[in-house]
Amino acid sequence: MRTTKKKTKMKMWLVIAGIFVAAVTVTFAAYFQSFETDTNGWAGAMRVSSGTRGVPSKSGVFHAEDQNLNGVTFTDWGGYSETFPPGGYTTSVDIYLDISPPYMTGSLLPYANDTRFDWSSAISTPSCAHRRDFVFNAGFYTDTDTTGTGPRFVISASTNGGRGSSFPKNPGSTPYTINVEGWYTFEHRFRDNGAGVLAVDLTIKNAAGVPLFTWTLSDPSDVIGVTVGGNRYGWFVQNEFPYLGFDTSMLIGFQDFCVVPPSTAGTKVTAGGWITVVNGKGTFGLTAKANAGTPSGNVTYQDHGLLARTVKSTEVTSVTPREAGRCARILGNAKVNGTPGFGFQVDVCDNGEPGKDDTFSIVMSDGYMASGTLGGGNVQIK
Amino acid sequence: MKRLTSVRAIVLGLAVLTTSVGANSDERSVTAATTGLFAAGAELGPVALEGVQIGTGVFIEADGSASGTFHAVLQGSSLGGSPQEITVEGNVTGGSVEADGRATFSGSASLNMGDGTPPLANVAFRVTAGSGDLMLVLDSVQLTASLPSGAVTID
Repeated sequence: MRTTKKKTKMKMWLVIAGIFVAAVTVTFAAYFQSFETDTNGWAGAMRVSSGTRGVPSKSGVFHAEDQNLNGVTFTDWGGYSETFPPGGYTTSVDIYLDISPPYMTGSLLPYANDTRFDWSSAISTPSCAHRRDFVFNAGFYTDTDTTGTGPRFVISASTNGGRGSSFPKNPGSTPYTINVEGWYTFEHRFRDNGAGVLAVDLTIKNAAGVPLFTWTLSDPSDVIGVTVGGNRYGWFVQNEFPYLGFDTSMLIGFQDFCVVPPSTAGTKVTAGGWITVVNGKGTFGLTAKANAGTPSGNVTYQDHGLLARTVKSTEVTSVTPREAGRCARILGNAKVNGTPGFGFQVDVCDNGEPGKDDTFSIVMSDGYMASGTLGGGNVQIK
Repeated sequence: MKRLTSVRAIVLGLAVLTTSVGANSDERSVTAATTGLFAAGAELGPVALEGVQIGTGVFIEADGSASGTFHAVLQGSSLGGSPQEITVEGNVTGGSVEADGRATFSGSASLNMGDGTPPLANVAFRVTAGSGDLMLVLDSVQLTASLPSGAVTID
């Protein structure tokens, strides 16, 4: 356990920053896992409390470690998707870069020169097969060369992972060097390049969310809707560190799942109220249930603000409880201003009665998003 | 305010009557996110009402019981002409859906007059809703609104 003043100061700052970032972004995330209560949605993630091996959690009081489970630590972000959402989507995970002694192993000696991990976020084809990985290739180095000197991480980006196919110091991939230990956000932004071709921005941000460096990868054969579909996995393709800390993983954007999550029998949700949206209120009313696992219900939503729209569901396809029954997710299709053919994902949380701190969020297939704590109304989940 | 209190018992009686109306055999639901316009002359206490924003989700059982939320913000102006919003936070306990497709549900609500006074608790309310209009009875005060925008689903 590290108890240096430097580490203590860093911990407090990281926790404060983490809480702020989480508060801003969590309610928009279609998938969110910060390991506070479980590791749902992940395989190979070992949940550990803040301070384990001297690492303060990025947010909350728990995070996860990949304990040298090389190649079997991954998330499906709640499920693969078949359709690329018009507004694109973003995945991110916070990874702890262990640079200065004492190391997470407890040793004062650094890791071996060129110890690596790869973090990929992959995309599917429209038929839900694998299309392509987009990979941060990261390595710990102690040598001296054009990337720097002494203990540091050198990171680049490619569409391959593993020692045989990638190299963090690849000069053709514009390596970026990090010398300061701490949490860093590894973000993939999947977007249309303006000509219908997929472009992926891989960005490293510091713990305050400030972008440090961005690589953009794009292949002309990755045509959205033709060869490119929706999200696939997030995966530590390789990890040579005995302990690699990670936290706050999320996908922001619409998912039309290749396999719609099965409804949970007995779930019943009623809600009505409003949240603040851009230049106005977003009023909503919904009922949803899953009798014997068969989902049904209705969702209505009216944005009175700048992005004015009326949403009326035509079908509810999934009703599932989340967060130990405190929250629920409702998936389905809807008309927007009378026009059919829009998917929606609604998340509600019942955080107290009557309506105290309850939340509502809606993400739609055309990229529309709104989210917030209720200004009035109530959410009830059984 | 005294008037609202004095007639609460009467409206509670109406609510009980409403819940005893025969209901269909299956569970029904009323869902709405809609904007309404009150008829000319609509008033609640000293407030002249103009519009309403509603968000509601209600399950209505075959036995006339119901559960869910009725939330409404009634927009109007005070005697002095200042904008005033009255908030109704209703807990639904009973209801029915009639053969013509109109739904009625009722329960008790908190009523915040938006004038700085503490909210009134346990105010009986009853709502009768169709796809394009709505009647809200709030402590014997009957308010009718057309619903020109938004969505109402009675299932």
